Amino acid sequence: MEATVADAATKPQQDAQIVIETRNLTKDYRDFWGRQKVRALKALDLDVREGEIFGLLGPNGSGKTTTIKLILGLLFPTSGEALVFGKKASDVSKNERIGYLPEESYLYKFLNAEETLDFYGRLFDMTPAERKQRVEELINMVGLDWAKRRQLKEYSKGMTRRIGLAQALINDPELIVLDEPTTGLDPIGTREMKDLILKLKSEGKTVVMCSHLLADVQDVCDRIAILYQGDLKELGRVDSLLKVRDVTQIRAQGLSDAAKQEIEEVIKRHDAKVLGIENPTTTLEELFLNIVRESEARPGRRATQSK
Amino acid sequence: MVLEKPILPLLEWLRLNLPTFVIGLVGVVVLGLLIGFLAGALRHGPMGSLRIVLQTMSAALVDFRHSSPRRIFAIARLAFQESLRRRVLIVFGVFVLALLFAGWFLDPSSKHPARLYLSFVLTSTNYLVLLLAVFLSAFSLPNDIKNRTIYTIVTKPVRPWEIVVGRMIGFSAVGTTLLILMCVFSYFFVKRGLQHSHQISPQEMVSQTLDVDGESMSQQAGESSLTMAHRHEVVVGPDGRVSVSNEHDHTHAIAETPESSRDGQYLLGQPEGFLEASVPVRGSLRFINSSGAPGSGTNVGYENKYRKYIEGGSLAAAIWTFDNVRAEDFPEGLPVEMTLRVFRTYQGDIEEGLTGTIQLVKPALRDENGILIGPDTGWRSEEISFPAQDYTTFRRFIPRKIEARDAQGEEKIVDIFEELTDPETGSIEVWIRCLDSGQYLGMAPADLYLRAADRPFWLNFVKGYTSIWFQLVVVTCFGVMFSTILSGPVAMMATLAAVVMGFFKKFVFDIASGELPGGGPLESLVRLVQQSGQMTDLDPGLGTTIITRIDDVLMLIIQTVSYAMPDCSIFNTSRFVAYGFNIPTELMAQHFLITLAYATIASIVGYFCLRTREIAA
Repeated sequence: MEATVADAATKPQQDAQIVIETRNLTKDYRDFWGRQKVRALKALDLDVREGEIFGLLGPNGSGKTTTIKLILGLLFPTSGEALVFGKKASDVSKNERIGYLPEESYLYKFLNAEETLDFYGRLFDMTPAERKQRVEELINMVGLDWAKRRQLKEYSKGMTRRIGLAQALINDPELIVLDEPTTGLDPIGTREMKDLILKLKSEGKTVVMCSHLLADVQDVCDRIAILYQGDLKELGRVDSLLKVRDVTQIRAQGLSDAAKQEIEEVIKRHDAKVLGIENPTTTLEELFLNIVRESEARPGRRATQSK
Repeated sequence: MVLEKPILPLLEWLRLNLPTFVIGLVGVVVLGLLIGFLAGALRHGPMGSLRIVLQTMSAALVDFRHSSPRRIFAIARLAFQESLRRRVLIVFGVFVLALLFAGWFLDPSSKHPARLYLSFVLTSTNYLVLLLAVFLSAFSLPNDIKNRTIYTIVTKPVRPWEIVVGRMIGFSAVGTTLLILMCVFSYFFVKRGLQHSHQISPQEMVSQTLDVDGESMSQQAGESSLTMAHRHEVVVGPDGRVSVSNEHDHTHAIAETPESSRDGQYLLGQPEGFLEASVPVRGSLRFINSSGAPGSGTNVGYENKYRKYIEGGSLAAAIWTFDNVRAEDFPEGLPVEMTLRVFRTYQGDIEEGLTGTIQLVKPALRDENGILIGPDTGWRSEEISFPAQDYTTFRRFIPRKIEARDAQGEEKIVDIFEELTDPETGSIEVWIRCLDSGQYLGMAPADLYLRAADRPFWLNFVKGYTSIWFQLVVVTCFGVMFSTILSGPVAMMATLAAVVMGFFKKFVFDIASGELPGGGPLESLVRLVQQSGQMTDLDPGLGTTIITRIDDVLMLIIQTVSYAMPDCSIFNTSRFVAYGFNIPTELMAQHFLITLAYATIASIVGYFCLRTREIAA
């Protein structure tokens, strides 16, 4: 519960509609005989609200992808539940409003780009004319117009990623779930992907993405959750998480050396220490590594409020 | 062709078999629920498990209600595209190649070349297509799950049922496409393979003198040239009419006469009689025993309970009653065909067949046991003798005008349809007797029939391929069903096992039910090692008791499994096509319903397997 109560003040649009809700979501992986092998996710409580970009962050094996699969109903929870648009994850009808880009673009290699999008389009309730137009739009949007007649097995990784994104958007979804959206993309592609995510947000869509690429998350996400070995370690707005609260930054122009000395003395008088002023905020990378270091030293769940 | 079982009218068949289907369906559902409940109970306790089972059931109802033809079609289309892009048409290439080589090996000197050609193309197509169905259907879904392409499908609003049924339809469509190609190709292959012609020049013919009604006439006779290891006898009658004898199941018409041809020879045209689809009109059979009283025929031993025998040189007779025989259907007379069995109590001249007689009798009113309850009409035709030999079909055309005598024994020439058939019901009796005393003729209801007008052969050929299509659909559905829960190779093996079991269902069932001597699997193994015969009992003792107990359990399992497997052999209609019989519409309808039943069960089982499966695990 702490997670949802945490930094209530910093949460935008407190009354915005909740799109994804997980309650005590736990997943054990079992072997053939039903013996527990590993607990991949431990009692996760999360809320994702309409219109935000939510990032799931964590090193490999931390439970990000498991969380996403549980939300989509690809895995069944061991206990707890995941609700999407207020419906159970196992309810197929929720998928009408969801777009999902898997970790790697698992697509049919024997189809070409057009056929791929056409096929996925047929799975939704749209007229042939609508579908045709949508396919064309998306192919142009992801910049694959020049290769739309080539079979996907000839595609490079970046191109497959783009077509994968296009299929996730075929139904103009309200919730877009992106598993590692920038892997395999070059810097330009990464930039475009981020721009696209921000554009989707500006259209009022909700985006949930998971990544271990911190820069991506820092650039686009409104809120993040940091997972480590199945535990939720941090949850909150990116800007507030990164604010170093016991450090005060003073920026001024045209201070003389005497003035600076005076200020230093004032600080010392208050039993404070003068730090450099070059690093006013920490980076996400620093925060992330801190959490990992700390978790290894003291395993278990951590209070999600930032110090 | 020997038909072992009569073909029932559709409604009667349905009345007999629908309960079986319903029991099977309910059994599958109950078994599924039970397994689901037990599996759930292990993890969530009985109450939790019950809740889950109920939830799954209600979710299933929602799923069925919301399934959309559009999505099923999209998935079927994808399966079709997948197969085509995986170059599945190569199978057709293999088939064509096989046929081209087979042309060398199909024995042209065979007595029944059409039978040979037709059974060959039908059987080879059958096996090839079933093998293809196994491979296509078993690997697709496991591959999708392994490659995780299924992730992008199940996160769309697709119901598990649509995935299962879409695949079944898609792969069936692939098989259908191939089957159509094979059907067309093999039709022309058979046509071409059997095509041949003969020649005969008038110089080779010998003059013969004939005695017709006291007048002497001359005719020309000779043997045609040798093609496909046979010759025809050609006779040019006094009136100039040319007749060609029937050899190797066919005859020819004259295409060119010496006057019209350039080389002054008779040229025989296309073979006729090879490819036909005759429609037998069947009647009911009753017997009269050797003392002349109604009986049930003699049983000559274990050979076949279905077939009964009549004693020669006695009053014993086999009587077929045909109803609704009208002059419109048989304008020229009655074509009678029969394939009887022969049982000799002494060898006699083995080359010569036994002598039997056919007699047409106007039926008297009888009750269902064949006891006379009305006055005997007395009308009976002259007796026509025929030679009876095992495995040989005897054909006799009985013309409309026939010599007959009435109750007073007065003989005159009468019209079959006027004097010998019952005017109200149109029924007529055919009496078969055996003249050789001490010898027996055996018969079953389907052994003698009237041959009505033929149906087009190509239609029968298509029907034969439709039977293969039914098998294809059943196997595809089973393959997809297995693939929802098993990995590719295992699903393939399971499907193959189902197919093999299907082909030998009766044998497997007989073993499992203890019908065949030798005991169950363990006992057979012991006998194999000890080299003991099948008929002797094993030495009594603790070991034997244990073995038979374990066998009982194993056999019960085998019995249950074989009961659920489709019986592929019933779909086999290649004999009809090869022997030139029209495949009855009732039979096709039965096969269609059986196919539908299996497809329904397989799709339901497949749905639940896929639905309860954790896709990403």
